[in-house]
Amino acid sequence: MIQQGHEVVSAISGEKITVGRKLGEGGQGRVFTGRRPDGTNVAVKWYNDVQATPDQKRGLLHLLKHGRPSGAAGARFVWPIDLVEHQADPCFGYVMDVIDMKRFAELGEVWAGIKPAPSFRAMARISAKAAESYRKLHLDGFCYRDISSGNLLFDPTAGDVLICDNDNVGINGQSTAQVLGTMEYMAPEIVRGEAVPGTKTDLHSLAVLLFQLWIWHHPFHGRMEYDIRSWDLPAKKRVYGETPVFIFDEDDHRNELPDDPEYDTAKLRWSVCPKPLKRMFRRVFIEGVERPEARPMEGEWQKLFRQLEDSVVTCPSDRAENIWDGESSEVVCWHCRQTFPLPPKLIFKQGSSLMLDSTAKLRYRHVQAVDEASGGDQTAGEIVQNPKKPDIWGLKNLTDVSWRMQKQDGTVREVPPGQAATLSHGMNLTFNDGATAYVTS
Amino acid sequence: MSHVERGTFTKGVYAAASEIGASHIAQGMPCQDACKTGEGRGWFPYTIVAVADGHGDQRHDLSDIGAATAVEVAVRELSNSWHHYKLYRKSFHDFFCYDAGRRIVRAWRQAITHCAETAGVTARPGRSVYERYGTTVQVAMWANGYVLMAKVGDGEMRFSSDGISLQNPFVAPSDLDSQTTHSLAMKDASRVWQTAVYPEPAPGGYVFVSTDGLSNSFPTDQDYNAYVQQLYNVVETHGLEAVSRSWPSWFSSYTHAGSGDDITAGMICFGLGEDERGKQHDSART
Ligand SMILES: Nc1ncnc2c1ncn2[C@@H]1O[C@H](COP(=O)(O)OP(=O)(O)OP(=O)(O)O)[C@@H](O)[C@H]1O
Ligand SMILES: [Zn+2]
Repeated sequence: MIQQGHEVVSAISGEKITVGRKLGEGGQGRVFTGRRPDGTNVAVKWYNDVQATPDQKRGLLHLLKHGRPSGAAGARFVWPIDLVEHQADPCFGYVMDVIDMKRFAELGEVWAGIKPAPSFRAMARISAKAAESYRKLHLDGFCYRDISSGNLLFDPTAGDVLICDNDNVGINGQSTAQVLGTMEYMAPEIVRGEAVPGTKTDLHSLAVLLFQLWIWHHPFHGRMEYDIRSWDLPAKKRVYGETPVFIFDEDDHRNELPDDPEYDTAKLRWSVCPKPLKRMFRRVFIEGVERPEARPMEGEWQKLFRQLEDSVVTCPSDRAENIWDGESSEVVCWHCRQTFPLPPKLIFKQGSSLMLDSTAKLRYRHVQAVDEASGGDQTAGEIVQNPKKPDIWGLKNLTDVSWRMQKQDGTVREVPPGQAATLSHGMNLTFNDGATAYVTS
Repeated sequence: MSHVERGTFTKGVYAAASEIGASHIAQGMPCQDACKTGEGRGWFPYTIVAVADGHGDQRHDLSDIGAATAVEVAVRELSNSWHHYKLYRKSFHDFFCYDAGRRIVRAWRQAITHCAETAGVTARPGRSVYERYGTTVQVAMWANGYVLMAKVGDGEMRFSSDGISLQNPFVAPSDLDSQTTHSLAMKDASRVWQTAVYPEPAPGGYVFVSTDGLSNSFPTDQDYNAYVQQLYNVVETHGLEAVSRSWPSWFSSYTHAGSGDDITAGMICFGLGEDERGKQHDSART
């Protein structure tokens, strides 16, 4: 077993990496800090002997040859950078970037109260980014096979995402049965032994993960699981594979949540879950278990979560974040139960909308075509209050290109970078690439 | 009032002991800590050490029963599921990480409900009956080449892969919610089940578990770590059997000198035999 002070050699670059202190240990091996000859820090994962198989090495080499998926979506993968070996140890390992474990959280840490719970806005951002990254992975011909809450790290405040443990990523359709993943995330057809892991089955695992992030519960853990005395493999096969029934299926009550305080949190979180998201969960966990083709694709998830992020409205009484459901004309605050009116919104030509809440952020994806490298997530504009007249609000241009605004009475004005367009009902805005939107209350 | 359990397994020895706190003796109260060990022999051996720390105070007036029930249930649920999953290592690990918390919490509640009904115990107004039995639980298990650790609530666990280094698998919640003690009585208890899985250590490695009655006897984390390392050195020299026989009197002196709280600790040592077999392992290590 390698240890602090040892030197390991990168198989591809030939670089010597000095092993530093141990960062952690898992079922598969140990993770150390490492220092490259140029002084930069990396993390080195060293497999234990059970895991250091020729298959694992082949898989790693394939991932290395392909390289980390490109763009902002690909950058979220903590991808293997090089294979490393040590002359006195038959095992091997790989080099990856160091993760800031203080900043990033696992869902389990949030549940245990070790890390703060993400807000609605942060959950929407985390979900959209996770969906976007898995989409990128799938487009590159891979499947993840082991999507689970332990492999998704997120910044609970900013909503940024990292996907780790990428050494188990496989080639779509060629996955051996070895890496089956964790049964509670597995698509029912894999549990039943009728399919091997692939893009379609990843879509189910992704949905389970998203459900857990929003509802803090498993979509199939209802009455059925509750009534099982012996939670063994046949029982798991039944609940996840043979008769998967969604706990919030309104037509099939076999698996609804029992009347036990254990389920209070899930019931509460479902009651405040935005309607469009509830519909999507119903689709994936009711239709999608029968027909994998019916599962929402990553792009659909991404579009939904971006819209949810753009629908955040703040309760005027207690500042609680709420998400407008896209239908109602007012919002009942989930926290204080008071009703409040909707702020004006910006409607884009393609039909999406941005609530002009005081906390809203206009992003590059709203104002111009999204380029892969940046992902369109940077802030392009923000809501500002007129310092002299607090009831007048403006949209400040944070891009480096002028916008054009046209008021309802026909007057046209430039909005240069750094300045704000005073928001008024019926006004039109033309952004960077000619993207247009209008304000409505 | 003290309680000690110990045994041997194919890879080494294990023990656990509880000792009543000085303040509880003074107040005529029972020990609100509990410990229990479990083991399976034959083709699929395993070893479990469980400790629990009842919350004490007036709101949790029956937490001694709560703690005793917690270790009982934890050992039983883990032993039973080991038999279900023993053929598939990953399935057992998944069970341990994703299911065991929920199943143990539920089994604990069922046992407490039964216990309360039999004894005619009722809930305080606006509260759950479980609160009166509130307790933490911590488990360390060795099975099939791995060490699995989990906990709900306070208490300390340490893992040494070589008898020298020491790691804390559960870094304390930073600043967040540091006031709330997690408890089996919370309705979200199964969600606060934290786990860590390590490959079985080499001979000389060990796992140490204790309730915070012990860790609170030390001013800092470093002091506690140093104590654990020293304790292991003594175990290496004199064997865990002799050391665990002394635990009650040692713990008793710590609680009188320090926290006043009940003290419980458990240990699984790899590569050590019944008594002074420490020497044997020394020669195996060189
Ligand atoms: N790139 C990294 N940067 C910093 N710390 C890391 C990095 N990768 C892993 N770690 C730390 O090392 C620990 C072990 O990681 P590893 O991925 O081997 O195991 P795991 O995810 O806990 O378990 P398993 O591999 O069984 O799923 C992690 O919990 C984490 O604390
Ligand atoms: Zn409110």
